[in-house]
Amino acid sequence: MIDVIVTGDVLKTIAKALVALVSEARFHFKDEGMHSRAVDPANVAMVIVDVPSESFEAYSAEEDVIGVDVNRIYDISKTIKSKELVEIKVEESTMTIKFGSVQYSVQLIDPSAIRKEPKVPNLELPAKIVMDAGEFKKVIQAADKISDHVVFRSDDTGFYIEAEGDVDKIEFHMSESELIEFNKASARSMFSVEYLKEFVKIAGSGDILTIYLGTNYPVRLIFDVCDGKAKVEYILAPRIEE
Amino acid sequence: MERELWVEKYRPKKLEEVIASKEVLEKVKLWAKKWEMGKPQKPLLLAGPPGVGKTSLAHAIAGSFGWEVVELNASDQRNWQIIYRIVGESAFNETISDEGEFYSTKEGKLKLIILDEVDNIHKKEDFGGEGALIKLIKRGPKQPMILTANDPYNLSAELRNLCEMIQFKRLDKRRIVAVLERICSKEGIKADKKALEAIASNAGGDLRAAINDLQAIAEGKKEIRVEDVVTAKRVKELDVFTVMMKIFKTKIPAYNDVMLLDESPEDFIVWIDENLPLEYKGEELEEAYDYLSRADIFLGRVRRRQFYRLWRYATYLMSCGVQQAKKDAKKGFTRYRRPIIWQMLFQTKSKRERLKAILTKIGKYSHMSRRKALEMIPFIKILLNQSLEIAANVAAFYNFSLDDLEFLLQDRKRAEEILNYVREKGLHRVEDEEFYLRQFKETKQEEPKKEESLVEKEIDNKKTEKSESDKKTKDKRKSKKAVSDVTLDKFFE
Repeated sequence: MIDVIVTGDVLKTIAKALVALVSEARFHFKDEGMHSRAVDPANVAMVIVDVPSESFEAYSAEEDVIGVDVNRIYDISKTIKSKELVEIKVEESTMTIKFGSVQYSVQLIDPSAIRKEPKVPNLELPAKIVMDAGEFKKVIQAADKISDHVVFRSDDTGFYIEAEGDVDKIEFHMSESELIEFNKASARSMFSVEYLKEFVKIAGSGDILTIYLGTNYPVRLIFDVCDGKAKVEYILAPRIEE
Repeated sequence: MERELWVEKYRPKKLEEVIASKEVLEKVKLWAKKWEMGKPQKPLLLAGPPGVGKTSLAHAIAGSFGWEVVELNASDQRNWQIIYRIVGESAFNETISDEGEFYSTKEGKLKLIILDEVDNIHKKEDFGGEGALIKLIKRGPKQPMILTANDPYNLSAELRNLCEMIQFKRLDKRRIVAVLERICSKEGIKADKKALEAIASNAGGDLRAAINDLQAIAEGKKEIRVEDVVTAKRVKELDVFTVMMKIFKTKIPAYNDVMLLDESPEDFIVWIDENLPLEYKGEELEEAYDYLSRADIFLGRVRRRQFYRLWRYATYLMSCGVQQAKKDAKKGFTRYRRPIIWQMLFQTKSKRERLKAILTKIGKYSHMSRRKALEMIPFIKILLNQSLEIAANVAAFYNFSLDDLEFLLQDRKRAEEILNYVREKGLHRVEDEEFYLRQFKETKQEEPKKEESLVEKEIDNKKTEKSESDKKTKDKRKSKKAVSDVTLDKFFE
């Protein structure tokens, strides 16, 4: 049996983070908190969601794995306010979400029917960039207007994001002094905007984003969201370049 | 307990295990090797009848070369958004495997995109799927792609030309027997070779069907003899009885059993309908029929909308629904019977067709649908039983034939009487174009005869056969010369 209370923003963020890639996911409840991870059906990206038990207003959960229809939770979470307290209860095969005077119940999915869970890959990524997630969101949304792919690049002069359209071009640059943390390592990879634009939806300005970048290697984007109450990590495979 | 399907259990994991001709295997191997060396190739289009191993070959390539698989099959929705999102992104990005590892094409670690049964992408809910696929392939996918199709000529020529087509033939009987033998030895079943041969020839080159049949026959046996296969046809029917027994006697969900049956839900519902009253009584019966009628509603929707996904709901209702309607499990043996509806339908076929013809005539001349015309039948019957004149007018108005009249009156004598009256009086429909056309033709053909020329004589000679038969009918018509028109006004005088 699982019975937890959490603020609305956390639930909204978890749902949004997962729905970017999958429609069904397994949620693990452990003493340390809640955890979920999944690979998208195109086998291009992975999402890892962690909410430590301290981030919940109340947390009492037996160790358990449940299968959740993320689309439904996402839809219902849109009606919940960020500051509102939400109680999530799981009994047998039903999940109940209570907010205000509303009680929403939904059938769970048999976890064994959901696609196998991935391991967290072991990636060696030289460059580490820490920056404001809101800034990152702005660039990606701008890049989406002109191209379907962007290049992430870093060297000792700073971190670059570049997108090129047929007749236009976007270049984003932040030097070490503008970034929160930067190790000046060189790296360069190209990524699909289609994925990135879904990822940044969870980010707001003030949230911290940590990027680990390699050359023609996947990128790790770690978002600390909801005032640090939840951590959402995306791993995105690079575009294949000639 | 769920039993594993042998088709899945023995699906080839490596290329060497695939049953296919040497040329096909060599071609496919070369294709995959070139991909691995970083040379993008055209997508493969595997074409051929069901059960010859198209999808198995695709999976075996991935297995042999250690590639990740992204599969979109016929049960997935495949409209243009989904094709773009999944196939498009898969084809131009590197891979994160199901295991969570990073696969780089630069190290020859690829991702195989399998699109099963692409000739089925034409359904309404797959709107734009084929167009999206063509656009993507034109952009030159960076990951290998395999399409399968039963009938490649159902695809647009454009898509076909963008792919490298490999045609599969029906499998040879001996190769099927070899596979069946291997499965038997792995399952620890002693099988008579003749029995396996019978299964193989029954399957008609479809290995999947052969393996399924083998599994059905071998169920719970350690030995398969020829007799088992000979009775296989009866086994099928027996199966219907076993499934019915499970539905009526137990509460163990029988959904999967019904799905495994060789009967479509549309046929199976008739079996349940026929035998339900033998088992259930009173309230149970009412409730069970309620479930059955709901199942029937779904079947109707399937037929109207051609939306076969709804079959599963129908099947659930007719199996599990009916099962839950009873309070306790039923005991004892009940002799189930074959549904009589099919026999009935067969026997009444000519009658139904006659009625349909009559309704069509009524509909045509009274300007209404056939369904509405059915409501007219009793009135027409009454009119036909009035005085001969009224009856003849009605018969002429609707252009009824002797059989039509006999069907309506159930009296051949009276029908003949009416029709004779019609002929004598030369009654016919006033706007009967055919009638006037016939009249017109007669006069037209008669004229040239009066001024016969030699040339026409020759033509006439050629036509003798025809005109002779014509003459017979003409004679009949001549007696009708004194014609009177039939309109509805007559009834209102």
